[in-house]
Amino acid sequence: MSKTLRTFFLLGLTTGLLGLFGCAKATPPTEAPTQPQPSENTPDPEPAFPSEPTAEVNYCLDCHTDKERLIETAKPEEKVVSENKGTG
Amino acid sequence: MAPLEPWEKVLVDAEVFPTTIHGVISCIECHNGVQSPEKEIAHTRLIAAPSEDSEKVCGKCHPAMTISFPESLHAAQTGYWTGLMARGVPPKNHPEIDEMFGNHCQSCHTTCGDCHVSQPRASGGGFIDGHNFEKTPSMTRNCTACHGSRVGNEYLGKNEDLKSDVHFRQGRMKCTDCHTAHEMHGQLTGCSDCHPEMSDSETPPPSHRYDTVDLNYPTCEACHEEALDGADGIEMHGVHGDQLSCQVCHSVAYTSCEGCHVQVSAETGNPFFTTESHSLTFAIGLNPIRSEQKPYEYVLLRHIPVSKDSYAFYGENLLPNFDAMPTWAYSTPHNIQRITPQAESCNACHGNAALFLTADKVRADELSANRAVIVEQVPPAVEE
Repeated sequence: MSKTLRTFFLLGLTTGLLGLFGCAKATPPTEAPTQPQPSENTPDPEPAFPSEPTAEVNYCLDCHTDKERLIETAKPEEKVVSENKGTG
Repeated sequence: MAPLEPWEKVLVDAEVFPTTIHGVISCIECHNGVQSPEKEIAHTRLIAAPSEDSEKVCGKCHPAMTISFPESLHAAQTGYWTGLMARGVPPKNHPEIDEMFGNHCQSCHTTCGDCHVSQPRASGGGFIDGHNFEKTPSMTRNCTACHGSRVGNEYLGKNEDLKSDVHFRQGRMKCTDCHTAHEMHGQLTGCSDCHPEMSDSETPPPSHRYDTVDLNYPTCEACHEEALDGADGIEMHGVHGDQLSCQVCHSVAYTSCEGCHVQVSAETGNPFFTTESHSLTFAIGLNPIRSEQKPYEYVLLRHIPVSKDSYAFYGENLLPNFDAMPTWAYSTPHNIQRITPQAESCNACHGNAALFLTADKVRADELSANRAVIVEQVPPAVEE
């Protein structure tokens, strides 16, 4: 191949490549992979471990409506003997 | 009122409470703590009495009440401070007075919960009705739990040989029938009726229980308006009209106390008080707080138990202006009767020195303090 022909071939190749990349869509910067965010309509996935109780489980009410349990667990009150004298 | 067992104080009504409006709020929303089946964990940073911060907790839904409540007499105890400031010398004595107040008076401070959920802590605490919120406080488990030894005993007829108040005996009226929610919450109303330039919220809070122009504060004439000028046909109402407070003719004997001293126990570290004596008294004296609302010349006076050395445990001479206020104070005993011994005839009262606070009935060291209320000359007997 003559020198002139080789020059035309290289120019044509370069122009072709520039045209191809110039028409391509811009690629977004690569981000670290993240957990998919649940949308409002997406049901919560089942928790892997027992965590915070749901509204149906109310440990406060469970205990404070259970008379026998409260009798067992209520801290005995220290009897304070009043030292007041006379009418208050 | 029988004291509650520890478990009884915190037992929630399983059937009713969850169905109430307060029952749908999560427990930790008000009480803090965490959801756990373990008591110690569940009670982490627990707030047992959340309404101590009424604006933050109760105020979310009841702002009209919680805005004014901190300045109400029940919350701020301004009546105590009015007496302490008048008889003491601010600001020099404040640290000692502050300490005394915190140890002995502060326990009577009231929160929303002390009236609407629980018995007052000063009388042992515990739920009134399984944590169900009561719009109207219970007369005996809330009101007289604190106001028992004088007003409660008078009203309910617990003083020996004395009948209960006619409003209770015949009317079955409760405290809240006269003492409205507006009064209890410190919500002043009615000021702008006479002073259109002034909004009710601009009116300063009362400095003691009788210091008010609020139309919601209880008065006899609110119900018995016709008695004011004798329009009810009772001659004496027309004759004495605004000269005598209603109680002068319609109350019977009531309790007065003497010589209260406060200190902290060396043995237990607990604060306690000692009163020298108490007795049933009846004393008509001159009105120390005469005003447009209380124009009476004669009123009933009750001896309050303050004395010059009441706070001697905390420091010397903490009440150097002891004479600035009378120790026989304006009083409205809650033992109203239609017919009383002093109102049986004109001369049951006129000329009857036994009914009046004369100088000989006042302790020598309190004469100066009571100069303004002592009756110098008893109204003379009249021809009947």
